[in-house]
Amino acid sequence: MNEILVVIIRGLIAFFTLLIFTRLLGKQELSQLTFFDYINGITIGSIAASLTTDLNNRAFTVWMGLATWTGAVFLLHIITLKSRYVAKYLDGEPTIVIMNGKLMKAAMRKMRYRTSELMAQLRTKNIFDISQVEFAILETSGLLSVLKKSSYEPVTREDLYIPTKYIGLSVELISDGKIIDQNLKQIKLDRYWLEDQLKSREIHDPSEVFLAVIDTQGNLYIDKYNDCVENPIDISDYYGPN
Amino acid sequence: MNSRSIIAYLLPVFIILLFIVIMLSPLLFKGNKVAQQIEALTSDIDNENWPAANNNYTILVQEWQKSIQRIQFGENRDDINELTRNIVRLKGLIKSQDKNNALSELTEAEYRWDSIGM
Repeated sequence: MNEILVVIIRGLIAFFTLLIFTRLLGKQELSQLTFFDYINGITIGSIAASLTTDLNNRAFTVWMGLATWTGAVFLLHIITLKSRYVAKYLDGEPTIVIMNGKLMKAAMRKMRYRTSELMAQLRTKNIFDISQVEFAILETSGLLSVLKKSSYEPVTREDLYIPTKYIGLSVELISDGKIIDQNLKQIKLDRYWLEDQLKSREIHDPSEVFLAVIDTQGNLYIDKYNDCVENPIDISDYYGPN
Repeated sequence: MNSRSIIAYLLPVFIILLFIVIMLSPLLFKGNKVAQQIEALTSDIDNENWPAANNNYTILVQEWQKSIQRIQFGENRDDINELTRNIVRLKGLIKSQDKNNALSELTEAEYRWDSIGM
């Protein structure tokens, strides 16, 4: 029995299984994970690790454990999507901890949420004076959402009646020297137009371009491979690998 | 749905199926040659035909080594090592013509072989 070879093969099985299973579970943002999601992630990772290195277990037995956990998480996702009640039952509800500037002491006690934790989370949002807060809601992920009193909110363009333009999303037209035809088609342009634009900037081939992006106003941003900054500012004072 | 997106969906399914086949290799590819050799050896030893037992023992070792290559990715290491130990001990028992202990070792080896992949 070649143990190194077995570990390599089982490692590849665990790696690609995890990759496929996590794609199946979707794109929930890490900061939005509930404590239960977090524990699930750790357990699934731990099972995958033991699939790789614990040769005293049959591969398929451990793999079935991995599939069962992933399947259970997937099933819960589906159920919570379909039923609002089950979602609230499983994930809990956001809780208001400050309402109209007043601390909700009973709710905080119920959640075993300390004022020191509240103050720390307010500080991470650059709020050092609790009297500036109108509403604070503790989300199911444990993060705090804060609405400041309107007198402490910064002035916006709308407050000053300054007209604004639509910005929208820019579209990549060339990436790494390759024209992205799909994006060109999407904005109803073609290669001839792009090549004309490149020629007007003395670029004879798209392969000279590192990145070309067009915004919703029609402005083309082009970064060439050979347009390096002559005297770049070096902020590093360390000569090792980064 | 174009061919690229069909491949994008089918590829993970194919990969998972391939992994399952590799992991179930002890069940799917263990064959029955080792079991046949154990049976032949049992008969030789039972009849105290030691020269034939020696020959069949050599074939058993070869067949077991071939099986290990096929089943190693799915089976647990302890089961493989335990069966290897049974076979190694059997060599000494055949050499010393110890019928009782050899039969006992073969029975254990047969039980371990049967449990592979199950």
